[in-house]
Amino acid sequence: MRRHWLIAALVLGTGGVAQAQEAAPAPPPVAPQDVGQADPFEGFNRAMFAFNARVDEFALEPVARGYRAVTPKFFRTGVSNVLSNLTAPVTFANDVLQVEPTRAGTTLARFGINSTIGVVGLFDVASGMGLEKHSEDFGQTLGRWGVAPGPYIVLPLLGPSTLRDGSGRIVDGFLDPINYAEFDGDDAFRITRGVLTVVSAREAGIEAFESLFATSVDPYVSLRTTYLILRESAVQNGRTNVQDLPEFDEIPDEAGQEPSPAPAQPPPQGN
Amino acid sequence: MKLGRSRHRRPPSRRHRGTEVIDRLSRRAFAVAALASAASLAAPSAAFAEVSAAEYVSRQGNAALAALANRGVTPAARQAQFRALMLQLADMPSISAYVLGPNASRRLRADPALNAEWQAAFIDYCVAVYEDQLDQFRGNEMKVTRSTDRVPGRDVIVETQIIPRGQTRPMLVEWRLVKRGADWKVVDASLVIEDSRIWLAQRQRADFEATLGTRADVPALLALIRRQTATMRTRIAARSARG
Repeated sequence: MRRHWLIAALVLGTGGVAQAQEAAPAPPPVAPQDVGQADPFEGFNRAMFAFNARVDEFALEPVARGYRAVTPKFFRTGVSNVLSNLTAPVTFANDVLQVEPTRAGTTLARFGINSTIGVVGLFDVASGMGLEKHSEDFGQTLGRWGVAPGPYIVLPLLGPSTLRDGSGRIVDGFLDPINYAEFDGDDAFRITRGVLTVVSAREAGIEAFESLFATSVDPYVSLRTTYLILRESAVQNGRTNVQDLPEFDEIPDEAGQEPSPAPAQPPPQGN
Repeated sequence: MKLGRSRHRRPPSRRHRGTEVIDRLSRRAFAVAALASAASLAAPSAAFAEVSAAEYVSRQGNAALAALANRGVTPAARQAQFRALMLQLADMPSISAYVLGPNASRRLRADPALNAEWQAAFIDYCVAVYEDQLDQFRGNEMKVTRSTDRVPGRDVIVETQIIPRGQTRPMLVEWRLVKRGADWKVVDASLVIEDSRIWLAQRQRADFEATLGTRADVPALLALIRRQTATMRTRIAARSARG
């Protein structure tokens, strides 16, 4: 879920982690991106948002900047790749639950290739072979099954969520084999992974978080809107139907025309 | 979509259909970006009449990125050039009305003075935000990968890829263009982030509607975006000073 908080922030800064992907085939009909108002706990949520921002300011961000300062880029990329590779079992399980055999196959192949040729996930060899990364969680699976997101909730330390996504997070914990694995130092491994996941993601979002507060008239609203839109799009695996896009025919009155210094447009010319 | 001719030297006419890869455009676009930006300021509509939406967004988008990368002019001149290109590329009157939502738009239509004030402030805000945010791409080339007709010849989605500075993997950006008279104009753009897509004007509208509330208090929103514009200008100036 924390990943989605960060992704939501990243989009506000036209984020650096966004990557081009192959277009999804045969998109099903999808409603326009109207998230509406689903924030009955706004008072509580704003308080949690302020709390999280304060924790970020005094703890997370300094650690993330320190991590960036003392590690080279290739090291951070490798750590990020390993952490991403470790989420493959959860993604695979949710691909299956969503009856997406092609995507499940991609996840399985990526995991096999990156865990072996990619040296336990350090190198994302699979992307270079055309097997693009995607992520799934049980919140998205519930969405595919028709469960509505429910009220928006800002969780302490974990950030934006909804009733559906928060519940899905618990199920994902059960789907993750690392939570069951027993080996020497297994607890230390799980704690290290958790800490590194937070620090790595926060480091990747340093500029985006700055942009969130610099560009938004109300960062709380912007984060909420972006989170809800991205989550609903993720439920549809990014597929969209261009016919569902809104019309742009709200032309202002003559008196309110463009006040810019742009030159007037001459009529079309013939050839 | 049609590719046509103008008085300027242009490729021969041809027709695109559906989803066609047109890397050809991007290879040339960056090379002519600086020239195109100058030409567009001088005679925009006449020069670019009857071009395809894909060609238009490639040329103008790359011209805007080239303008941001131009360190041979003063920050004020760079800002002026970027602003002019943005105003030419995007249908700002339509966008500025759309992002307010129906209630506030209705109120503005009844108050031309407030409408003009809103448009001017929103344009300042948009230019500052995009000047700041697009800095991570300045100097890089935007490649058109395909276009999809929503309404043939009138409403087109153009898909592009661009690599942020310091990264190796491209970011996918889609542009929605509509025909305004003889010209194409951008009315929205979407980012694709890990299987999720977000249309920025739609997001902005959701933000503004939430901020406006049921009272559609446009003057209050005006004050907020002016404050944010000033914040953005400070950020941009600080970055320019650092080089």
